[in-house]
Amino acid sequence: MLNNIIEVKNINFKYNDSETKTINNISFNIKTGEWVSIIGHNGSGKSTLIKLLDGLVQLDSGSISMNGDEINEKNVNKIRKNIGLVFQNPDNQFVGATVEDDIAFGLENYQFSRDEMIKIIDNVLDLVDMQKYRKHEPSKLSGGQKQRIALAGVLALNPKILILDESTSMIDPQGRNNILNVIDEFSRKSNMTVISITHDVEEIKLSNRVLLLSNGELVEDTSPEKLFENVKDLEEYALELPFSAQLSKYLIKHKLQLPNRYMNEGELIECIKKLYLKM
Amino acid sequence: MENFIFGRYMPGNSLVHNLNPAMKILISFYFIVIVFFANNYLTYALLFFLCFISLYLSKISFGFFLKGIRPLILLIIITVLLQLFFSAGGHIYFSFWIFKITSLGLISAAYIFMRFMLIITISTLLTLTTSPLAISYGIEKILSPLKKIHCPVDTIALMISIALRFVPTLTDEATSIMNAQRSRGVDFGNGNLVKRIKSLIPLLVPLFVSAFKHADELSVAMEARGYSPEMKRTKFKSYLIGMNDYISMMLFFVISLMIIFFRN
Ligand SMILES: Nc1ncnc2c1ncn2[C@@H]1O[C@H](COP(=O)(O)OP(=O)(O)O)[C@@H](O)[C@H]1O
Ligand SMILES: [Mg+2]
Repeated sequence: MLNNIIEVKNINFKYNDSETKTINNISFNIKTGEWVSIIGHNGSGKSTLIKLLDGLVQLDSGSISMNGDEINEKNVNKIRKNIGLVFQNPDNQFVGATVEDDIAFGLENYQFSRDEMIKIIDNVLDLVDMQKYRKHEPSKLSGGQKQRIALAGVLALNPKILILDESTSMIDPQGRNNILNVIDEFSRKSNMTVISITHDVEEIKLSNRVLLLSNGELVEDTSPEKLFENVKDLEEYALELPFSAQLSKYLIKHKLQLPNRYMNEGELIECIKKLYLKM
Repeated sequence: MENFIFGRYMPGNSLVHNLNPAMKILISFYFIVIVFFANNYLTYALLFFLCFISLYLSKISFGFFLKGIRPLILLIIITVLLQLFFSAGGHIYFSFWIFKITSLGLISAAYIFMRFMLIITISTLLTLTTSPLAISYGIEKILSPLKKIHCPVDTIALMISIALRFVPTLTDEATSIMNAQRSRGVDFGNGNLVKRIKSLIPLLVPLFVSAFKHADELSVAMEARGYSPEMKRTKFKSYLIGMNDYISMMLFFVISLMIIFFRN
């Protein structure tokens, strides 16, 4: 049954100081190489769910298996090595004093030799196109660049599963596309499984599957196409339209003659230029 | 404050910059110890000569260096004056109320002045030519024998380097909090002392809250990246001990022998 890289069975979890269950009897499987988006409102338990997957907090009941091995206290370190996690705030995951030191942090933890580290760091810096910034300090990088380093830091360990916890929500659209492209390419090449918590419609479109969480329960397990067909109110699912869609919606509301369909930024700019020439 | 260089790091690529940090820290401490063995003009001259060579090899301009330590000289002068007026012994040149200037007082004031100058020069040179990260590496290397008695030297060094890494982040945040509070009418740095201290509260409270949030999330991120304080880790950064390190050690050692030989 190696087809399912992750198997989650009837898991429950409650924080000590909370009254209701944060995770309420959730079950699902994820196939190797799948890209799964997890959506839901703030506080619905998305971050808690991935902390459970990475063994950062312990289950109250139920079981999680990775590659057929059930997570327990003994093997959590071994399992964690196969999971790369990128969090929301780039500042709170930068450990090293320079870019290369930071990427080295994970490699040092898993006891790579210095020669191996130099080679791997070189590779991943090329991968995220940050070779120039090798010796830079984090305070001299933009948010998007810091996230690329965070990504490089986890890809350095060649994880089987990459988990993004709203990793692109604090950076600009260009930085976001940049990161998503790197991930898309890498995951295709190495058959890496991707789980991404997101509010971004563009990011959901990249995925094969969408899980919707609400108050700690898994309320929907569907495909992006089906989700977008059924969604009448994006708010209900805590989704955000991409910036270009928000803008064109606004412009249409103000009686501009724009086509009422989704356009990316480039198309929208072309349309607005044409309109401007007509005036 | 801009020109004040005590404790700051000046990136560069000189012989002194490239010495092994652990070695540099040890040599500096060794130098401070031998300063206290000097007790006549020849021995002090030898030490100044050593300082001068180090400064020259560090490629830091002499004028810049002197200007940088000027604020400290006021402190030295006060100490020297105290020494001058209140130490007794020898021939009395001048006396007024409780102050007197004596021959012994003059000499010991001159020595104290030179000691201060030497110690400040060498320690400023150390921090000017060694990045904070290299200093924390050096401290770790020097303290590594303490691992035998289960002192968590690695963890302490990691803590120091993370603290240093967060200084710019927190400084940026402090600036934006101050701007935000100013726009709400908080007046920083004006009025009497009590008022000034009070005006720090709207800065410090949010800054602490944010520092705790950083710490909380960082600890989760570190654990997710496989960090565990009990586990052995390999090291990415390594500083070799090269020819120059041996030569400088020899130089300092020879000079210290000469000082023992020439002192009274
Ligand atoms: N460390 C914690 N201790 C106690 N309660 C927490 C903790 N972290 C999150 N919670 C609570 O658990 C619920 C789910 O949080 P979280 O998993 O972060 O949701 P999401 O990522 O979907 O926004 C929230 O009500 C939150 O307040
Ligand atoms: Mg969250």
